[in-house]
Amino acid sequence: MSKKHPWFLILATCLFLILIAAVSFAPLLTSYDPLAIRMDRVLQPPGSGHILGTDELGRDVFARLLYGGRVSLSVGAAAMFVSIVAGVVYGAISGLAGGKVDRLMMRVIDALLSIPSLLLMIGLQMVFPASLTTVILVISLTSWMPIARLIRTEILAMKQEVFIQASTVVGASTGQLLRRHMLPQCIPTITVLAISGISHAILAEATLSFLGIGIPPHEPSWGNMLMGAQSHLLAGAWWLAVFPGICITYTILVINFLGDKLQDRMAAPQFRKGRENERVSS
Amino acid sequence: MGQFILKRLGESLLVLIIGSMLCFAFIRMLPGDPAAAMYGDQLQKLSEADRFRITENLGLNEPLPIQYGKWLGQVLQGEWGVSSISGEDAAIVVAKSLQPTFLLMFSAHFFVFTLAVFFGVTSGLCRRSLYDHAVTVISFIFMSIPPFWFALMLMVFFSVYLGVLPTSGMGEGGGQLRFILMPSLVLALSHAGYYIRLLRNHIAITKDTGFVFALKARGISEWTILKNHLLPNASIPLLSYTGMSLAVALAGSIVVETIFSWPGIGRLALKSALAHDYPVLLAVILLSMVFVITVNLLVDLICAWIDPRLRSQLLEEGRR
Repeated sequence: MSKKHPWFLILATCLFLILIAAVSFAPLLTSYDPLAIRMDRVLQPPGSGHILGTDELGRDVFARLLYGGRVSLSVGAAAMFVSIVAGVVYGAISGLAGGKVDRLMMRVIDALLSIPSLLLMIGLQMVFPASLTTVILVISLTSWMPIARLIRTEILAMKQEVFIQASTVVGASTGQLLRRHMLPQCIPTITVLAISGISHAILAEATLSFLGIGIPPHEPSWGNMLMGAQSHLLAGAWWLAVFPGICITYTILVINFLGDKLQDRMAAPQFRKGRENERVSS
Repeated sequence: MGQFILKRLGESLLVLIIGSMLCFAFIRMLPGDPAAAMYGDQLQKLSEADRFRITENLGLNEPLPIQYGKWLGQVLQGEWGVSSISGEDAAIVVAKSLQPTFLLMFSAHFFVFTLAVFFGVTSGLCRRSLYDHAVTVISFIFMSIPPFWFALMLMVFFSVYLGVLPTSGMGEGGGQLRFILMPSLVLALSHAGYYIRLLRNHIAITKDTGFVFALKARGISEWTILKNHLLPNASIPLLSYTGMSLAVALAGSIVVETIFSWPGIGRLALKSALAHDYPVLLAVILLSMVFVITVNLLVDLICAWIDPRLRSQLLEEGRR
């Protein structure tokens, strides 16, 4: 059913667009400044005036959620972009080179993957000064490896295909092969990877900020808000912890859902038709 | 098999060497000059010649490959530096917190396997039923909940609202069970979804294959087929996935241990990073790397021993 009419894909896209719209039009949805400190309105529960209450410095939680979403989503998108570029370049080089170079390059990836990613992030975070750029860099430096592996596998498989061999015989250079034939064939894979990459990066950013080594504390981000909430949680200020968590979960759920449905769609026969025909006729 | 073992051993050794080079590069990238770290403000008062002599004595003027060789020699001999917080040997500090982490990993994986075998097998057997969809959706939701938030919510519910479970620490003796329940549950539930999906897909595919059909035709009961054929068959993907996701589980334990103040290596890593205690941080990184590589090697060897098809497949891949 879902193969013919991509209802779930449309639903997932809509849910994602709602999220983007909410953080983009943040100033229209709330009149509060996410950074304004009001010591006379500290730790107010959700209700009149402040829809989702205020935090320990009297800042409006709803406003901080919306503006924090901007930070979380843009960090996620930027980190995903950097890691995709790095992964595709590395994977393509490794796959094209083949032989000893390829094997060595894959062992480097094995070595990087054998260090728990969060440990790697903590270590790298120590090397660079704390800032937004550092967080993006650290997340992308620790998440390009699986992408490179997949792209390399695709390129290796493609090298066996007759149409690639035919192009080589006709005299296509490696650059032409890559640009005209191999990379366009990788686009479905890259799209799915990009979407799961965003959710991975958002989770990584939230985790780092929650542990106190991510986004600098003065910037609102969902992870930062949760870190701040920890000390007031036992005193009963549940709204500080519940809402940022729901935002992260919603975002990751929607993005994973979108990625999953997109992957199904791309595995569907009508999408693969062109590629299958090529294989059969050649 | 011999050829396979040799090839796999060589690979792991190469990965270890590359990993140690990365660790060495990491030390060199750390901010601060080692000479300044040793002499502090005194360094400014020394003459140019003295300063040169100090860096020379520390071996910092030698070419990088030689420095790497010396460093590797020290690491292999067990000289891992001294913790800048406690002044103890870094290796000893790390060794002390290994046991709690193993305990946590063990109990988390116990939950994961129990959940995965139950839900994965049942939903794989009744594929496309309402129950199967429900399991898929629920495991999808649990895969998307950030573990640290889930931990906070459990804490609020069980420790603050109900007041039945402790929020932090490890406890002693028989009381440990109450302390380990929440951390391992958080760790387990954030990973269980992947295992459930893996098992479900594997069971759903193998139950429609020819050999199962042949067994049914001979009148063997569904339960016997499941017990003697489907489950052993599913153990290989389960085992190899456990090996592959070990690094992920260790990363998860950093978060969980920090939240629940569990005295393991995850919390130690974060604590030493925040206190700029680099020898300890490096010891944790090195140890977990060696551990992950070794376990993966063992898992691959066991899988190849159980399933000869994997062996030839992997050897074939190497030749290409």
